[in-house]
Amino acid sequence: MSNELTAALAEQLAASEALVRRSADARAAALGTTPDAVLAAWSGAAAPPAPVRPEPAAPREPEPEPVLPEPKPEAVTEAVVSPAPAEEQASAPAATRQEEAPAPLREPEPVSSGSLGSLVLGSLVIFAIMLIATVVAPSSSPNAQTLDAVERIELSADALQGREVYLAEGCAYCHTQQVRPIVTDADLGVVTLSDSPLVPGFQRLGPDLAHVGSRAPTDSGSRLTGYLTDPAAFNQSSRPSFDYLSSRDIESIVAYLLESK
Amino acid sequence: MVAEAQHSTTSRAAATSDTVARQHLLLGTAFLLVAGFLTTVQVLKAVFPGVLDGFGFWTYGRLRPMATAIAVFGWLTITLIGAAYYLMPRLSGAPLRYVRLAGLNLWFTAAVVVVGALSVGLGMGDGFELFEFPIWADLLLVVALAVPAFVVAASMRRRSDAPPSALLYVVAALVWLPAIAAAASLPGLEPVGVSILSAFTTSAVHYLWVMASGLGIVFYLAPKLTGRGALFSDQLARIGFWTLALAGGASGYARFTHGPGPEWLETTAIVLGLLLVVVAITSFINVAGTLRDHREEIRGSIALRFALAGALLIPVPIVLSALAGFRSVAAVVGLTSWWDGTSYFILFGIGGWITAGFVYAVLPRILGRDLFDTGTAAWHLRLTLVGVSVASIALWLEGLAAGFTWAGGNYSGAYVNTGEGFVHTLSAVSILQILVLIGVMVTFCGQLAHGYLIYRTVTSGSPVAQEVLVPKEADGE
Repeated sequence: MSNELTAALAEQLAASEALVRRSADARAAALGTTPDAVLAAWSGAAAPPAPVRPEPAAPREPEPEPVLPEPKPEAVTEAVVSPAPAEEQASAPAATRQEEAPAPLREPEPVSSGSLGSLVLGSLVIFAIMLIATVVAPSSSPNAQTLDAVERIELSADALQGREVYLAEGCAYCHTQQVRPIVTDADLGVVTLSDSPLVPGFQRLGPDLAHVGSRAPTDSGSRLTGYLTDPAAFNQSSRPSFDYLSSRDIESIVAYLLESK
Repeated sequence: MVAEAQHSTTSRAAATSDTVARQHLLLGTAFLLVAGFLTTVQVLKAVFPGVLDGFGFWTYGRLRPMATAIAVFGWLTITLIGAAYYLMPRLSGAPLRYVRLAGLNLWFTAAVVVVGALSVGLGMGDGFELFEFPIWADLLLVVALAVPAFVVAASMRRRSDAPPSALLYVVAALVWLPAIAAAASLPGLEPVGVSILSAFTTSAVHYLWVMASGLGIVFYLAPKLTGRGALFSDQLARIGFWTLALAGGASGYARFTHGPGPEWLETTAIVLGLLLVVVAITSFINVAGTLRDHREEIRGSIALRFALAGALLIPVPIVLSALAGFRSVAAVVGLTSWWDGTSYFILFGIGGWITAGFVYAVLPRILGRDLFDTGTAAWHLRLTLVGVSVASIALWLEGLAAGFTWAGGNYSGAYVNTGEGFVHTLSAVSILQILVLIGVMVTFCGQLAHGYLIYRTVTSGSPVAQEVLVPKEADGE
């Protein structure tokens, strides 16, 4: 590689010679030409070397690992080091970075299994199929149809409004409204089915509320109102107060809980 | 002169894409601090409900979704999108197109996240886990998340060659994300259907977004920082990718095993959860194989240590989730803090370590300033390793203890799981809740160290040469 040309380019680009040399090597390796040709092209003395384009669409056999791996730069781009901010160049020359920089990435030989677009599209199709199969289909085929003598709970307009408040206040992060057919839930009441209009919830930091409206003492509206607005009065210091809610919201959430049976 | 002109033009265009990536990384760090603070207060509220009581904005039910939304969409998403903008041109050779749109969308995304989170804090949330924003904000979020997918897809449009695995993971995750967000807004579902959908989208965010992007980053960083050059096995990475695509979302219903959904769905979720173990195995082998014989490089690179921690611990939440899906195990840990432990480990552990590794590796290169102090970064790693581990293990144990207490109460009659008696079932886990709080606080200290380090790097880091991308060819774009 021509040292004079490298030095001239390094000065022109305000970069270290080592970096210019590395960049020229990388570009030459990527284009299938010589570093000198690249340097000449950069300096404007000759036309830029013609890029070697990969065969489009032709499936490629996986190539074996080379015996002596020869580092080459990232696929078709390369890092060039630009100078640090002008006022600080004296204290930190650009070459410092280059010497500390880790070795460039030698891109692995890709597995010949299609272009990125087709692969990503394929993965998106799989996503859509799984979404339809495991969300849309089960959501539209309630298992309650297979059971007799199970009455679906119908919520009043007030209770439906209360359900919205229940969701907005994040009650479902501490209370479930689902009774499972396992011994853990044996004392919680009738098992919850898939057509339940109640909010199943995520976890139980507090008691399950699936049948809160049919169980003493929470089957009383005044008691529930007291729990929500002044829990300390009921020795419920472990639960938050919702006294910041409007009386309308409190009434609707109480209606929802009372209809949770 | 032609060569010079072309060189100059492409340099300017590519430098802009790095500028956008840098802005993403910096803003993501700011969001991390907010998310860490809100998460700490949230856990504090869970342990001591009386703290800040009476203020709607600070109730646990509002704080939790706010903290999660800012962590997932503010910190992780913005950082991972920035990573994609950095990696895409380097791995594909195609310069990023619509960089101005990408830059503007960063602020749009940040605004949507802030406004959405504030809406939740003001009691306007819709109760849909992770996508808790009111519907108008959810739709704006879909748009904000679709833009990076569009930008990358438009940039890659003319490329027909087979991509490296790192690029495949990163780009696919970027395309999955808006699809997940759009799915989360599916209308017309009954509460149990919403619950099924929520399980799907939450799992998809964990696996198809955070983990897929994280793996893409590690598959880039590990060969690059070690100088090995190539990933241990591209084939293994592909196997992991397709397994992730198949099972990443649909395995989520395992969380509601024994719930009101159909039994076949439980079985499907359990099987797919087991399938995810393939991802754990392939990624572990790939990263371990890539880093084998590179102990010196690992010791010398804080970025590599972060990435290594994130990648090698991926099997932990996958295996624990797969186990918890089994009906016998779910009878104990279902509806307990067990799943919170897994979620915390994935977001703040794996997501946190990998993104921090990426920031430490890349930010100095595109900022032109060296890390202010690698010792602080090492403390960040230590604190988050200890904090996340303590918090997650305590949450897993809390789940086990709560589940066994409920079951034991029913067997023996010693506890009443309903109404006012429920509080007695929690007495066994109170010490674990304190441990969770300690773990989260230690993690937050690590996050503060990270924020401080990034701030000092930006303001006082030693100037070093700045990396500027030079695309090989203008390609007429």
